Amino acid sequence: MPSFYLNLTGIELKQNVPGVETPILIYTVPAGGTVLFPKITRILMKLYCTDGNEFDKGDVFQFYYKTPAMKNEKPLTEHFTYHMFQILSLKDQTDSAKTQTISMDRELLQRIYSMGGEEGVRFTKDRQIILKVLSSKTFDPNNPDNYLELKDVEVISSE
Amino acid sequence: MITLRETDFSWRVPDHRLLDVAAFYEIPEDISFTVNIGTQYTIIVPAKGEIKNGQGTSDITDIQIDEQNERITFKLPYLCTLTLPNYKLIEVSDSNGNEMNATVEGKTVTVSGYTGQDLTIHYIPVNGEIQLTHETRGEVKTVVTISRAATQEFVGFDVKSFPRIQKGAFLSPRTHLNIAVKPFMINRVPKYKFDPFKADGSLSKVTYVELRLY
Repeated sequence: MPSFYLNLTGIELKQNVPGVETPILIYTVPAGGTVLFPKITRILMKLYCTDGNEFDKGDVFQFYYKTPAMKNEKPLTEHFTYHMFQILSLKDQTDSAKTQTISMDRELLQRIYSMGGEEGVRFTKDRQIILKVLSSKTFDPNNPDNYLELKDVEVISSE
Repeated sequence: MITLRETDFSWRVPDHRLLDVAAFYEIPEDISFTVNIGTQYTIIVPAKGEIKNGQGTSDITDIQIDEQNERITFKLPYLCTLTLPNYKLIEVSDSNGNEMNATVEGKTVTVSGYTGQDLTIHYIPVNGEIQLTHETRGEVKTVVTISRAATQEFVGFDVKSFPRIQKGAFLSPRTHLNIAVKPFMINRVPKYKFDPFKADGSLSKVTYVELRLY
């Protein structure tokens, strides 16, 4: 029922390294929590950098996931640019005709289909959802106007 | 059908370190209601900042006092500036709860008639979390989340995307409808405090609730 949102307990925000694809958000699913990540989700986003401005239009974002047994993260969604998020105000992004969507990573989708076509991926305790960015700018985790919401990702019993 | 307003709820100061109840409405004896999925609703719980002896709480920055013109200017970095005109964005009051004349431009607030008195500032914050829950207390206490939203969703989003009840509930007598809030936290540090009360104990005018029960 509730969606994935920047104020969830367990979210860690950090600065990226300019010019290198590095994490700016790491969400560790808490004990007793479950996250259901669908094949396609609506996304609202406004993220600001240390210069006070937003990320550039061409900056590339991608969600990854990691289980405790995995050494490296694996792609969770396809990569997407900041282009539309910069053009549209937050209010415009919430207009259902303009809301942006992101799809699950193709390899992960194929795995889902091969396992019987489930609705998405389920993450339980200690699994991580990571947002990485490749940008020449540096993310400012302390900017109060940062906003990120994945409207169709269900977070259950996170508190 | 009844429409619950902010005055129907009993308010308290929530714990700012976690999701905590800021207000509750007890369903009266011998009456029951339903809260229907898809119903649009509005809940605005203000954050509270204070200026005492010219020093502000951590959610207030850039305080400048102009003694000659009896003015004080400060910034509220967590103020929601997406606000629609039909809501009260900010209320500045003195230690007696009297509202003072304040103007807002962006996130900067200017208060006139300032002569060094203590100020209480109520405002609609960004990125806070509002949850509407139904609490039943019997041998076992159960709390069910009926809806969850971000603070700015009630005032600054597209009309079609305003928060709606996400899970219907049957509200039997003596059970509680709760408004729970959690301030914006960056790496587990709360950035402001929710508190609807002015210095004289009255409810701030920024507080607003509109919720239909059937």
